[in-house]
Amino acid sequence: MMTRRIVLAVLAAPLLAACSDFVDNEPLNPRPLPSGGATFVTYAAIGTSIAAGIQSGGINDSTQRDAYTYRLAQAMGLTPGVDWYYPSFRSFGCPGPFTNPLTNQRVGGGSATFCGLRAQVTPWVNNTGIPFLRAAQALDITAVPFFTDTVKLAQFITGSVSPVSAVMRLQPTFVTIELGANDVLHAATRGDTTLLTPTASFSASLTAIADSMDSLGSGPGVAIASVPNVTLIPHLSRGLMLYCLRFGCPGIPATPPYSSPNFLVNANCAPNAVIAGSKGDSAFVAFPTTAGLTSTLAAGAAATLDCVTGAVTINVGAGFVVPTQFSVYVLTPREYAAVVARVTALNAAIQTLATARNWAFVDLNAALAANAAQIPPFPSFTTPTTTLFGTLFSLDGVHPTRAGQRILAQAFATQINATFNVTLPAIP
Amino acid sequence: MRRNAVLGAGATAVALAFAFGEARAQGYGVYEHDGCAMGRSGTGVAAPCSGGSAIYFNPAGIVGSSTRWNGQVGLTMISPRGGFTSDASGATTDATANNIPVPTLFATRQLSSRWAVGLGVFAPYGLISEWPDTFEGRFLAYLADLKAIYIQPTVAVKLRDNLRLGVGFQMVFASVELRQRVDLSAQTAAPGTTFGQLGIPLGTDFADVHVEGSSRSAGGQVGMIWDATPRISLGARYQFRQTADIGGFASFLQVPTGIVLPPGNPIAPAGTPLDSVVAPQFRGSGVLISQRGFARVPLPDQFVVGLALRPRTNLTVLFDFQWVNWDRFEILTLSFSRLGQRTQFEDYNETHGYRLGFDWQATNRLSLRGGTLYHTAAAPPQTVTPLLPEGERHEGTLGLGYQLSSKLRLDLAYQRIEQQERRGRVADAPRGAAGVAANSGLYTSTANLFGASLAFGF
Repeated sequence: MMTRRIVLAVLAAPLLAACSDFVDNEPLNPRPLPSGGATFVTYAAIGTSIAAGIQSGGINDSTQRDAYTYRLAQAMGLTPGVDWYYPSFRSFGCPGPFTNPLTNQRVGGGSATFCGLRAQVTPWVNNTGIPFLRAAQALDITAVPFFTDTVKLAQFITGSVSPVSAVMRLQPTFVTIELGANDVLHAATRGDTTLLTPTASFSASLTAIADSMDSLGSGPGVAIASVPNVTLIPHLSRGLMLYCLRFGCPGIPATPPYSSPNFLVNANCAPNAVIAGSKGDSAFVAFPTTAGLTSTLAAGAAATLDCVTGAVTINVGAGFVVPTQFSVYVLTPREYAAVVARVTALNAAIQTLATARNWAFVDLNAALAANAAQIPPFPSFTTPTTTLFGTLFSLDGVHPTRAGQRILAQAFATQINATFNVTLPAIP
Repeated sequence: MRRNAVLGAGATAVALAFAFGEARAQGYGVYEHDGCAMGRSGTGVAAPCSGGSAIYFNPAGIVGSSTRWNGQVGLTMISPRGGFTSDASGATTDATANNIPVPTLFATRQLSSRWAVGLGVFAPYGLISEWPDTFEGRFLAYLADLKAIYIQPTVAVKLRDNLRLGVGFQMVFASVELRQRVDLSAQTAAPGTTFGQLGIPLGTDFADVHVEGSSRSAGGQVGMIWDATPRISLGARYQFRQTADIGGFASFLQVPTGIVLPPGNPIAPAGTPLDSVVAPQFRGSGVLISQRGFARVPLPDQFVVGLALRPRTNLTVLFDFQWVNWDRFEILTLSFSRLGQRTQFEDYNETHGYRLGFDWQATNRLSLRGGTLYHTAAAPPQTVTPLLPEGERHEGTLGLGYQLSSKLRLDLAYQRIEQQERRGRVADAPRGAAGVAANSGLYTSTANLFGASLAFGF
């Protein structure tokens, strides 16, 4: 009996000895939780040029670090380059930002087609913001064959993978979505309301994106931004400004060169408070047009402006300034109304979706309105390399500066805190 | 086109798996060529099992049998399982489950009371390391398959009644197969520019590499057994180092990316399919065409010393210590006719193995066996990859032998291998500390082995 027990014990010993407790297992080194909490372990961003970090008509590593997405990641406790990756562009950028949009000069002396390429391959890309991106292109980059630059930059940013697909691969725990600006902006800057994305197709794109998020098992937390009212950007100046600079209005004195008799401004550009029924409040002149008018009048040549028909004449000959980034254009009152109505409709769709999906809704227009005093009503042509469009908008009048991006990031952080009961710190 | 990514795994796979075959005691070096020895955790350098497997475990042990002829046929089924868990995502990729049969054949003849000869045909390796072709480590390897057949004529002599010497001459026929993918993002698109800088994401497959190599080499081992007392035996075996000249072929298959180059790229007009840009590399004067490869691989020597104690007439307790000189595997150079030459730094460490086993004759017909063994790891922290994610091991065995008749015995054994969960990498890395820094997750590995052999003596 004793022998049998001994033998049985000896027989059992080898199996026990093969237990994994007897080897010195090394540890897995999972990423530590970010200071913001487990919610933000994997934060991914879907967005437009604002999310990407475009400033002054260009993008480079410096402007990418100013983007609200980068700042949010930091607020979440993530470390860019370690556990949060963005597609850094090297050298002067892709292209380099304007240093003077009136002379088309850019950082490093590069052209609008220069591209310094990606700095390096990253393990993955958390910030999939792509300039010129429309909502449908978040699902399929080729869905809207409009801007070749979208396809070009998509290649550099996500390898031509759609942003939603790129984000899904990350299995994110939190996503910010900022779409819609390009679904209305091009209509505003090019004066073509056919470029407005129909509300129904925009809603369908958003729903498809939302369904993709929901397919991720427990689903990530999502904060979605409203479509900004693009008519408020300083790239567009109200027609009344040119009328008042020509003739003088309460609070806006006639100012050379606009006060030149060579400047034939139709009375329909007057503010409604000055001439009842005029359209100066609801007609907008795009920056290339404003710059062209300024250059023409400064040279002593003649120029005309009609705020109802949108007709404008400027001198585009040698020596006259017409920034080439956008077309010479006037947004007529009818077109303005269409753009504003579409922005309103898209935002209603976004808010409805956010409510239904328990997403945070970030009202960017409220943030803009709260800082309206810092948005100049007219470009400062005497400071074309610094505060041409004030301190919140960069030298293209469309994309925010670092200060402007901070306001957007703070708007996101505030709403994320309120919706998800977290405490992201203030954006510095 | 950068070549290092292609050469790296090719060099390592062909050489590593082959080298481990020679070591016979790490990776899935099969030390279990006999159900009897396997049941007692591979111990037996001082007291090999009868049946002829002494050809493998200690050539000196083939002399002194009470029967003129001894032979053995056997089969070991190896079922390794493993995976890799990523630090970053926490996701685990399971290695493909394979079941590997490893056959053996031994035969010995006593020429006289003092001389014996024998012949063994065995396969110390039936190794497959296989991963899904979507595994993040696929750019190092997603398949490594090694088959090695050893043919060993052996002669032994009894110098004295209690002292035996044996010598085995080994002819080794080995073949290796490797498959890996190549990552386009790491390749040069234009001088000073990689495809990654054009936005090609990390981990974009553009080529599938198939490497096959084979080798014929010769080696040998010597052994001795000293029966110090009727109850105590000492044994030792030394395996000579070898150098294997491995010749092989690499073939390449283009994997479509579907990527279209955008405006502003420096290598082709906008709208050009990227696949058409890289296609010339796979034909004509390109570097990714079928080509020969060669590697000279140092195979380590090893030394085993053991003790057999017989506290009772029906109980044998055995202990073996094994030393393998993996320090020789420091640098590996592989040459391909088109891709050029690559030096891979392996920096392996010598290993130590400790085996403890017992063999209990429970009845006239039935023997019960068991054992345990521990082995240190050869691969340094910077060289743990999907190709051979090895680590220190602890193993346990159980076995039994049943005398079917006076001439025939059946031996069965089971072995469980628990390998250390080991941090490793899934991408290429520089030598030394930088390689350790590249470790990005945890490799796990276990195995179940089932052995059976029929031994005869007449």
